Amino acid sequence: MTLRFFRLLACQLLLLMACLQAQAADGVVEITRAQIEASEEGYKLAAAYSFDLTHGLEEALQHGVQLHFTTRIELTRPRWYWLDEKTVTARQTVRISYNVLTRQYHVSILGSVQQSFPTLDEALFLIRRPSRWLIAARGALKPGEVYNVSLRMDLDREYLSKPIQVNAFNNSDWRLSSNKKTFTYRAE
Amino acid sequence: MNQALRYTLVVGGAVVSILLFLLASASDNSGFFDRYYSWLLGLNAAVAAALLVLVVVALARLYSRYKSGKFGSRLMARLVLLFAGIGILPGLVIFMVSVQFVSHSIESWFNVKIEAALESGLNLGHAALERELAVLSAAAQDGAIALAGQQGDAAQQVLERLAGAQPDMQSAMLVGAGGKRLAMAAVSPPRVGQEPDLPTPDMLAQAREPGGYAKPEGGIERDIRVAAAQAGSPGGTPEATGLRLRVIVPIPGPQRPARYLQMLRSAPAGLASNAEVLRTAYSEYQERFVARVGLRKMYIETLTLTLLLAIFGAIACAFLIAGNLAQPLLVLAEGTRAVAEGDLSPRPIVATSDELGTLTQSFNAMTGQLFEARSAVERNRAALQSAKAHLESVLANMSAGVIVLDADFNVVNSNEAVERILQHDVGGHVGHPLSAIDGLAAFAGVITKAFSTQSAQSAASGAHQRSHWQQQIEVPRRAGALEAPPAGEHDLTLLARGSRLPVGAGSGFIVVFDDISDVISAQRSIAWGEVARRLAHEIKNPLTPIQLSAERMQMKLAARLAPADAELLRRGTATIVNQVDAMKRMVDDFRDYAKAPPAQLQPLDLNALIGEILQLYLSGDESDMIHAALAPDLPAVMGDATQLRQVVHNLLQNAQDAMNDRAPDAASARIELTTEAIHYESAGGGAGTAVRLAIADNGPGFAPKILARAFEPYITSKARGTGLGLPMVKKIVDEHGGRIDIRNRADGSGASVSILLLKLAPAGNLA
Repeated sequence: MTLRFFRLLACQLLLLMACLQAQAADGVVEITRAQIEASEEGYKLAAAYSFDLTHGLEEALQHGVQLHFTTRIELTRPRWYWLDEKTVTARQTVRISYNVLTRQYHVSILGSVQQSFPTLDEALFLIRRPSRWLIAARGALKPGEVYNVSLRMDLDREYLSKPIQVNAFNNSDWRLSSNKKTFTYRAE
Repeated sequence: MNQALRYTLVVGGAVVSILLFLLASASDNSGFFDRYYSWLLGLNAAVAAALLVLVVVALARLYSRYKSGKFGSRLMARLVLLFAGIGILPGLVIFMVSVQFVSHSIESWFNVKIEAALESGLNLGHAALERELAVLSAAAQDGAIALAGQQGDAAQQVLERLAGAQPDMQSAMLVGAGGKRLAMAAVSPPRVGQEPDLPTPDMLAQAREPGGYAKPEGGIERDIRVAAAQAGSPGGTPEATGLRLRVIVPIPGPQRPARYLQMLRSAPAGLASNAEVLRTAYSEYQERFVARVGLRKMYIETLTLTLLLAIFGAIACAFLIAGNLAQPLLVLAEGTRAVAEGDLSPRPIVATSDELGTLTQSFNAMTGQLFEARSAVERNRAALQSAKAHLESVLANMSAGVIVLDADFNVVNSNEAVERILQHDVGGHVGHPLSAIDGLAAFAGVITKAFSTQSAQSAASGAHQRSHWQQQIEVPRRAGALEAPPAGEHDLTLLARGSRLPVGAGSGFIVVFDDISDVISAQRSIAWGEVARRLAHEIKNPLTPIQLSAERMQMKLAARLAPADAELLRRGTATIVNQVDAMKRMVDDFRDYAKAPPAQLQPLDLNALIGEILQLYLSGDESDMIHAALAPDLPAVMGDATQLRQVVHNLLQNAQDAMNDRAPDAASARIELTTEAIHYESAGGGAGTAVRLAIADNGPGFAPKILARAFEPYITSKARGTGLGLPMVKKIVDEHGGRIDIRNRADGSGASVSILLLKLAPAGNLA
């Protein structure tokens, strides 16, 4: 009887490990360009990503499942005497969906208007090369100060329904994320 | 099981229950846990792992205890198996059934028919939209032909007509080649700030293709929500669903740049809402179809976790319960082991009202009674031991010798007095026959004979037998001196009593004897005194007539005889007179010894007395023989000066006489006279003081036979002497209540006489 427990438990553990391993090897979002530009309104992130939807994701999208991509950026200022100061943390989520009736792709940055595209590539273009995004107001950064910027972009699983989340644990089709890209930025 | 662990278990159990409840409730599509579902799952898995570790540790401990055969582990193992089995088996059955149920039922939800129906519905929707688009396209083609060549107001009029021609029309618009609005007719005026919906370049490019651009668009959730919020009724108007049809056709004609007619029309309300419903259903169906694997996994994982938690919980509880059940037994086991080791202290009582509690209580009662009994035995044994020790001490310190013999006359036991009296080491011959001891063969023979005689007597006399015999036994004194003494001269006289006693299995004998030589000696002294007194009386009476007669004969006859005869007579009478005198003196001595006057005890300075006497001896004596060492602060004694003077005289005389007998080559003669105060502990425990007078010489010492009977009259080593000197001394010392002790000096050179005067004058009474 105990053997059975162990086997069950071993299955669970293997499953977890498989998840972790899969996470390391699945589809990767490559951040091809990332820079912060200062403008009159404030600091803007200009970024470009390179990725392809996996087969499973594409199929799910075409069956009407909405996908969300979240970009997270964090600006920290190193402090020798304490933990680094988190100056700016911002996130932006883009939703892509497909209307099976009109056969159109819709992309919208959450909280903003949506755009429609007839093809997936056009829709994805907006996600791969998003427009400049205001991450901080003008006075948020101290000019001349050097900040560490860390940026990552991934398929946000939090917006998926729970069963798909569970599925995503051990299905590499459902994982799409970038490595954390870090660079320094001297505020202007 | 201590308190902290108990509380930890309770709290942990509550937490686990909450987690499990949350996990189970998160399995429906409630949405709150959507974001934290993975966390919840992980947390539950971690708890399960922790419980597993706990269970494994507990099982390992139980196993090692079981292996080492520790008490209670078998019971514990059985209880744990029992409880775990009770907990696990039903859970397992439910788990199996649930898993089967879930995996099959979820699959069954997604069957082909529903999917096909949805697909068909979607196709229907598409077909309907196509039809509507075809109608709109036809109208647009007509409109385009009508607009061909028209400009300005004419075009506007055509647009107005077009916009009003069909129901649900939103707008008709004339668009330039760059996507600029040239003219527009709208059914409802555009809202303030709302841009007119212009076609994109892509659309225009597509419109140049044959057939133009004709597509449905819209139907976005956000727009629906916004519109519904504005309209106040969900999904009511065609605008609300946002589903509309857009048709763009080029306007024929040579006019350059090209112009396009765009017509926007809302989908018919029924079609739009139905299509939207269909679309939503299709999307959700597809989403769930995609998610079905995940859903099944989710259910199974939840079930598995639940099962694991239940199982581990059951095992942990089994340990708890088994521990609680086994603990009193362990206490009892500890108790029995402690009792076996002799520890009868009370055990901690298990505070339950059930049989186990009663059992421990009665166990404690039992150990208590055991303790009582053992301490009683202990006390008795101690009492016996002390009694025995007392008896042994009494026996050891008895002056009488006691020998215990077994039935074969082997020595079983003897006390110290035996050795002292017999001068034989009898105690060292335990287990040997008494007769085997060198020098005691005669003694053993007498005893054996006495016992057999007694048993013969008792056999003959029947019932009123005497239980013991009593006999006087002469034992040769052990040769303490150098030369072997003549036999029979100085035997020890023992008064022995023997009786039978039971020893072990057979009977034994006990012999008690005492050295009565001194008693006999004293009796002899008394007898001699009596004889002397009578003899003196009888002899003295005729002496005076004899003397007188002799003198008278001399007086009467001396003148009548010839000178030769007269001389004979004179010598004869002189001899008679002298001898009679001597006899008189002797008789007087005897009389004095027999009838010594009682001592008149008065406070007396012994040192002064001795000084007086020494004056007599030292004056005119050049030999430097007598040395006195007198203690300066000697307490006064009660004594009769005359008698004590005689004592000192006698002793000094004896010593001087002894000097004459010594070997010619000996060291110069020396007599030491010492007095000293002796402090001793009296019988009552208080401190006492005595005065000791000792006279020692370096002469030949006492012969052994003399030493034994020195205080008996007529025992003397001197050629001439009455042998009354030492008896007299002894008599006087006895009168003074003192003790006298004579011995040969330890180094064999000379004798020593020591007198202890115990009666001291009261303090300050010294004359």
